[in-house]
Amino acid sequence: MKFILKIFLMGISSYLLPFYFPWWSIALGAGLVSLIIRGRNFNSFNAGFIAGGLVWFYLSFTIDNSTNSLLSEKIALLMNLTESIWLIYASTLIGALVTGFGALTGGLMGSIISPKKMSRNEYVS
Amino acid sequence: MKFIGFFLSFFITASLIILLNVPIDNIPPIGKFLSPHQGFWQNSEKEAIDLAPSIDLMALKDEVTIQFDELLIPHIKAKNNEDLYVAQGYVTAYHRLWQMDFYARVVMGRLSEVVGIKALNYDRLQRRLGLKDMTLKLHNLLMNDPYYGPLISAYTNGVNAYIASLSPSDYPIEFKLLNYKPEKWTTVKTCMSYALLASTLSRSEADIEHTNFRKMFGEELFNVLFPEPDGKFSPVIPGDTPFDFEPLTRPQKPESFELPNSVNETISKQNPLNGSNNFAVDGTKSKSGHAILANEPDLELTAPSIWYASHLTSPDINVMGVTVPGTPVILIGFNDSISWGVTNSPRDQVDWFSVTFKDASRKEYLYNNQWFKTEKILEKIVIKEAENFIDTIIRVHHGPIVYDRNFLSNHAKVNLAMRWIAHDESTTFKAIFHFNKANNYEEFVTGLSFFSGPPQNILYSDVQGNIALNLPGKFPVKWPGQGKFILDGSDPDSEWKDYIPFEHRLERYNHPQGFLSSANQFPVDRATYPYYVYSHRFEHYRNRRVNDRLMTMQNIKPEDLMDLQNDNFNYIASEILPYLLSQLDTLSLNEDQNKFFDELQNWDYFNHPNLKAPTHFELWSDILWETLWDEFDTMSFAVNKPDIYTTSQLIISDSLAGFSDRLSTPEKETTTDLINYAFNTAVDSLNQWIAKKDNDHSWNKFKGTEVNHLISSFTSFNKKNIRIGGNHNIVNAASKHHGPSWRMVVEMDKEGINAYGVYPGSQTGNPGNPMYGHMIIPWAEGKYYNLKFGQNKLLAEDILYEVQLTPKK
Repeated sequence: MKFILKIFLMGISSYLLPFYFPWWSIALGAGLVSLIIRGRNFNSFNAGFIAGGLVWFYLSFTIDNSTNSLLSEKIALLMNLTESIWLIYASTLIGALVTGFGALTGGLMGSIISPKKMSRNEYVS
Repeated sequence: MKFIGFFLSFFITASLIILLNVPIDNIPPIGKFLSPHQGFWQNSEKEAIDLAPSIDLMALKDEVTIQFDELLIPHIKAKNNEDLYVAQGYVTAYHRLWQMDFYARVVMGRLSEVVGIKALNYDRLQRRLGLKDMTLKLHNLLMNDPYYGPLISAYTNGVNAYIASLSPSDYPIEFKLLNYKPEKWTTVKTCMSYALLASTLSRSEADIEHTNFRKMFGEELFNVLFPEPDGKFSPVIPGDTPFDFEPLTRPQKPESFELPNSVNETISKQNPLNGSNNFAVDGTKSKSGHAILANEPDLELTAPSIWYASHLTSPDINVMGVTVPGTPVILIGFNDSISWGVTNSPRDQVDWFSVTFKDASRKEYLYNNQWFKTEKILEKIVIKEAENFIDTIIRVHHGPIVYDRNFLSNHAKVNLAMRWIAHDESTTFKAIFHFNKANNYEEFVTGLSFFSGPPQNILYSDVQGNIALNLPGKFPVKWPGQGKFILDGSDPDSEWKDYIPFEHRLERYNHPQGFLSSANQFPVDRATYPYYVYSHRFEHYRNRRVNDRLMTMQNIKPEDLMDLQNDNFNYIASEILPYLLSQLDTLSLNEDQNKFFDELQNWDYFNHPNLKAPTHFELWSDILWETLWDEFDTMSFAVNKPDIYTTSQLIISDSLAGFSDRLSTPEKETTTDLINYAFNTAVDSLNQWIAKKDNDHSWNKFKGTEVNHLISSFTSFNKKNIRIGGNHNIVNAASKHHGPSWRMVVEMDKEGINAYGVYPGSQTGNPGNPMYGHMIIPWAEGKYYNLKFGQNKLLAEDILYEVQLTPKK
């Protein structure tokens, strides 16, 4: 459940923050979430990876779909890609990696700030 | 352990972000660029217009309505003129902000700032030419004028209001690809298009090339290969036009000056394919009894298009047409009483003066047997990802020294100062503003009196049925030949003294033949006009075709003038091809050569897109021209080859002297040998082309007309292989990269004007907009759109989108 909650919160932060802050604020949001909601580091990374990837996939896919790939085809050609779908994959991967590593860093930071809690959590889980 | 883990993870995250947030070479920051929130995805537009229906603008005094028609042309209704230009600035920026920024950088010599070191020489040239100084001078003049200053400010405020409304995710795609931000627009930038157009249109000269040639081969041969037209054949101003005034006296020609050294390389010149046609018929020629005017400027075909169309209305203005993005008012268009169109008038507006410095410090120069102080200007050019470059430019009273030890000077042997009329204070903006508001010829002429250049054949027509052609502008009174060659900068007698008075300009108001036209040809019969007129290059074909057609056409409808604009008749071929074919040794032709020959033999000289004969002719004549003038390729100094017209005349009259010899062979070829050789080579080269392209060689495919983005590496924003006929020197002047950049036909009906127009592009400059480039195909097919004005005024059902601008409290 905590894992799902994390994905959900990281998803919301990845969706909302870049409207107001630089694109990489997705890492900060995810880091904050995994700092507050503690868990295993591997899980933090996975939650961020999935959340960030999903949000960036969803957004780029819907834009691409609703505009019939009009611009993405042109950009793909500029980048020597054969199809615009690769741009969606690339966006997804970037969103996933940056959010994932942000989440991981947040989690690890948490374990430094309150190591005890961390060990109990590990034990419980 | 935990610390190591944290720092490692932090380091990876930070590195990842940094790596994805910095540009690498020409690749934009990939994370930022691919971000769905802020990257290129945000430039994908579902709807043609995404403006809010109601916008508050601080800059406004009153409410303004903008209605976009189906071509995305804004119809702006304002309650005062300042608000009108605020809205024009706002809406132009909405569609073309990046292009405006780009043009401003071109004029100010600031491209290197955003594209890097590859633009350095370009920026240096722009600054050496003084485009920035010209713009500042114009700005100073307009901003100190109580009437025009506020209008320039209003337009600027409109652009800035749009820029202020943008968040980084809204920046046009080019900003994202080149990774820079739109900077604040300024009143100086609003004045930029004068320098931009002057540099595109009035900088044509060949003084240095001519000087080199004369030095090498003498004046006699020069006059054979580079003759001056006498203006007898289809000049701009009909031959029967009287000039009954007492002309100013011509200056005395001083002793001939010979530059001791030659120049190896010259600055990049305006493209010779920039040209235009305009023609108007009066009520006696037209079916409806109204005057009809047609105009099309033939320029480089670019995306975004050089033109932006709009319809401006205020209590005292109702004008529609096109302008250069970044420039208020309408440059080519019509109002409810008059219409006007322009073609470039080739006139020698640039002379080069050789300057002698006292010593290497270049602090003093020789003039009238005395030493005078020079002025030193340091131009700082900021370069992306490289150190700033400082260019030292020396100015003398003639103008800036463009060729000097730092720039194309042949090892510091020459110093050439540029005297260019466009450097003088210009009032052309006032002229254009008067055209926008003129109700009749008298008011139009008042506007003309302010027109200082670049020289244009300005065609006029009105709802009273009058037509007129004028060549206003600033022209020095020259002795015959003055400025054809480099002049002595120390000699006061070599300089320009008087200027042709406005009343002595070339003008024709109505004509019994019922039409007037211009197509960059020689302007006037030399025998009738008392002033010396010169340029190194004139059109000789389009003008004759247009006049031939108009002479025979009767009961003309707007559609007939559209057909004439799209006319594909190849006048060059009609003159020279019969002669070329007659010189061929047809008995010895092989099968391929026979097919090639037959196609040409049965051709009616029309460069229609689907025909193969135009391809044959183009190949043959190009190869002939190249091999004929191969002598010129061996010269180490800058020199021009004779133009197509002179070449054709020399070939037909078989007076090529020794030039028909091919240098690469031991034999002495005759002209006939050369024609046969070029023919065989053309057939071979066609076969190679077919094998390589795996395509049929229909004219449109061989020519491959294309509209390219201003940044040439953005190849997928281009439109290639457009199916269109025509060529250079043909009325439908669509060559590979140049062509009709705005076709306009206006019928001057008293009851309401009927106007038609099209251009190869779209109002929107965004490649992610569904309407990007939507007019290119119709343009190529010769179609026109009804412009929503006069009788076809914008009705409720034609409005695609409406925006209400309200003053912000």
